[in-house]
Amino acid sequence: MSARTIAAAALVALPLVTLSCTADAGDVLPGHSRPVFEHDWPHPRELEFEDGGFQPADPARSLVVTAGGTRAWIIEDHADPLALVMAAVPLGRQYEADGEAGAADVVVRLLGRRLSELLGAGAAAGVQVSQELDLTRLSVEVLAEDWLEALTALVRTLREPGLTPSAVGTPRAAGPPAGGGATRPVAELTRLVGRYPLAPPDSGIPVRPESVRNLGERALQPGTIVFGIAGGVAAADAEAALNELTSAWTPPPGNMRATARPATFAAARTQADPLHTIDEPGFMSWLAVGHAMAPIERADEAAVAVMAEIVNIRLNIETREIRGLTNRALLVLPAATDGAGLLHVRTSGRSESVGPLIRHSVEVLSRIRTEDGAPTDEELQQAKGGLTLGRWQDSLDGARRTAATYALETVRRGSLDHLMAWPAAVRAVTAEDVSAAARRYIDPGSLTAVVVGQIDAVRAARHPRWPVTLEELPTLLRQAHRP
Amino acid sequence: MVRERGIFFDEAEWPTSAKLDSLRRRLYELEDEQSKNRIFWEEYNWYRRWGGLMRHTDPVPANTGNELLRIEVDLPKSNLELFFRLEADRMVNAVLRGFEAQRFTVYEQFLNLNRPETGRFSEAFNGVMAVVHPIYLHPGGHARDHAWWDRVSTLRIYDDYIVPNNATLALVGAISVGEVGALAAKYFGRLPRAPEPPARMDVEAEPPPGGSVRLDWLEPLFPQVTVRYRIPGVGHPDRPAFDVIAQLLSGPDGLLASPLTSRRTGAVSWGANASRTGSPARLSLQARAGRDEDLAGVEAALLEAVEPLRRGGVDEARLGRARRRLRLDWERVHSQRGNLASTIGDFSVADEWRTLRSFYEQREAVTVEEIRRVADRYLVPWNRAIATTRRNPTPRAEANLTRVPEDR
Repeated sequence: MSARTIAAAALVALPLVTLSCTADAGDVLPGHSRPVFEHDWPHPRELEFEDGGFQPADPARSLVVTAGGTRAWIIEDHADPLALVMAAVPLGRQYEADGEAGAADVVVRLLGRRLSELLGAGAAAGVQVSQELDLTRLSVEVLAEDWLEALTALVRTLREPGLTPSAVGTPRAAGPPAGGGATRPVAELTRLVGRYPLAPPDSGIPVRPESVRNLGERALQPGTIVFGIAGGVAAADAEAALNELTSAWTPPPGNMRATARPATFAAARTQADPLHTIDEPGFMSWLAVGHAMAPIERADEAAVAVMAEIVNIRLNIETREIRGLTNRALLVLPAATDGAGLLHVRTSGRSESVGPLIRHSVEVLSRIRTEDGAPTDEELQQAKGGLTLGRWQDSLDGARRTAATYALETVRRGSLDHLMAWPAAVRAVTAEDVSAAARRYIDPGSLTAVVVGQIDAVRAARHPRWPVTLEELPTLLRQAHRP
Repeated sequence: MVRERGIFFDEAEWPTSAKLDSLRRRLYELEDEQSKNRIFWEEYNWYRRWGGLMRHTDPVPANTGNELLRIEVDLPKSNLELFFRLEADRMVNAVLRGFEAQRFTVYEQFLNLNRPETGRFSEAFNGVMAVVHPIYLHPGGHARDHAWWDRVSTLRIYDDYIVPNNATLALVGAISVGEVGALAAKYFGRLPRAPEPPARMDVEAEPPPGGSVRLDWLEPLFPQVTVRYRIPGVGHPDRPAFDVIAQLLSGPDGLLASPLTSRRTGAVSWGANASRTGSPARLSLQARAGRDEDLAGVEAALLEAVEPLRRGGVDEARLGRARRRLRLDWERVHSQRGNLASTIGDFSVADEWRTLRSFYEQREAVTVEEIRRVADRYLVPWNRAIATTRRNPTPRAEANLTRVPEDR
């Protein structure tokens, strides 16, 4: 049983019990306004916690394969007042064939519209449709008694997606978002350092209806889609309904399966000019600094994940906690299954922060590759705890989340082997592994930065304590690989 | 100790002389040395070590709403003691380090809230809704406030508000009161009671202003109309009905859809929501148009959509669908422990935590007559504010977009 399981949402609201004892009068420390409260509580390092005994739902008892070959993870939880039905589909830019650029966006948009139509206007349903480079997720969360209507709508959407020329219309590939905001520099950076399909196709190119239909036919097949059904639904009923809803669902003639393109890193490119500025009015600047990243070797995945955790904390200590340059800086790794894509830091700040933010981001990315920058034992423990006890357990916490994770993982990797071995892989990572992963996957010398903001103000600004001018940044970026 | 000098100077304006420059260099050396020896985010990293996930967004350990500060942690049940150990200590023994950097971090939040892309408009619109309750006093703060964020006032806020008798713990999960009671007694139960927090935290709702307020925003934004009404805050018996009203208005089959689409107003999206912060709170109806020229028609349609509510013209079938969506909404809160804990905290601050149950029960039981009654009382022109934004406003408030707020 999961330690995080919400057991009928046992609820404790605990207004604080307070006693009227008095603190010892004592010296007030700098940065501290009250007398120190003396206590004999153990130091956090002395706290000993039992193994919570977390066990995810047994995959062997959860996988169902229908007579027609459709796979589904069905996990029942009688106490759950809700039900989730979802489908993981091998669909995204990476699955577009030659001449189909832009078709994935159109297919996903039409699937979302069709699903909403079939559920009906005003339905009590939480619908989510999301797309990554090589994976699309459609999910519907409903009251438990509505699970069959939701499953019916979802299967019908995938079987009869309605990708007709009239529904498709004459779409064109979208360009990067306009204006400021956190997504703009990332979209621009992706286009600068990656070629299609890592980057979106050129904006404005027409998307042909037959491309949309062909991509849809390859992706939406009973043998490629994996379902997740969970919550307050009887497993036997769900299996029977799925069998009925998918009966006689056959692949199209020729049985063309969705095939992902080779590693997206092959399409990387390094910019001659490492700094790109985009003028937008406003007093905030939005930044992205990064480069295209090679696919991650399977054996390196855990070390890269630990590295990213550590770099993220260091980034925020350097830029936010010590210097107050920004509210937040984030290292983001590619989401594609093979790990290839855009490695980047995204952040924002006032004009005087732009130069130092880029400088310190580059320094943090460079330092983790060096001997001096190797992670400490504490950093390793924190990162490993966050990844295993934190995120991994969270992704498998409760029936609905577990079924969705299992379905997504099945489409991504074909099995749950990687998922189930993840905690052990993370726990085995050493400081040397992290340093080696950093040297292999972070290349400070090929970083490109995009600044979206009021460039004349940024150019004129100087941080009084850590001044870095816009003019200094290209040299700083290109010299970053030097020790 | 270099961080303890107790005052803030804008370093860009420091006077210059050989002696002062030398002192400045020495100060910076000491600051750098201190940074090397300081432990950053100690509590946060203990949480991470033991599987804690911050509900806000990693790596930020705490977040602030309009009326509260939250520290929200999702921990494996077996590691729950860590929460009590760290938070009890933080409540009485926190040492506020890195003050000047944090000042700028908050300043970055302020700039973000005041961005030309919707932020400045939202703050300004909130500001015309009411004047007494503090959430309407420009919730993101004014640029001039930055000058007052000194060490003394920050420590005073810590002393006034971060005290046991102003805190509520909400713990949700596979745990029992007995299990956590021992931990509560061991840690929080030993903390000394502090003076009561400032009485000004409770603010009575001000009377309606007696006239409609209009805000035509002149910085360029997307074409949109928002109609707002002041409604009672959480705890008032009339408040739950407004969640139902917002549901009735929203969606492709809602009451807003009918006049917006049948009149071909050019509206491309619309919705309604009822806020739960402040007193009064707000019922907002908004619709986005494709063109500035469509705004007049969109505004007329939004006002028309309210009329069936005031006439009792809501049919039972429509009300039933709205109730069903609200039930889903509640179960999504109830079945996700982080959502539930956070909602308990919200109600605890807005009124008291027990109101949570009665609020949702009343919401389920709202009738057509109840809707008619509250609509007739609150959805009236003299309790209303209307705001428009345009892509090409005339005249255009150009200069506001390019200057930092304090320069204005």
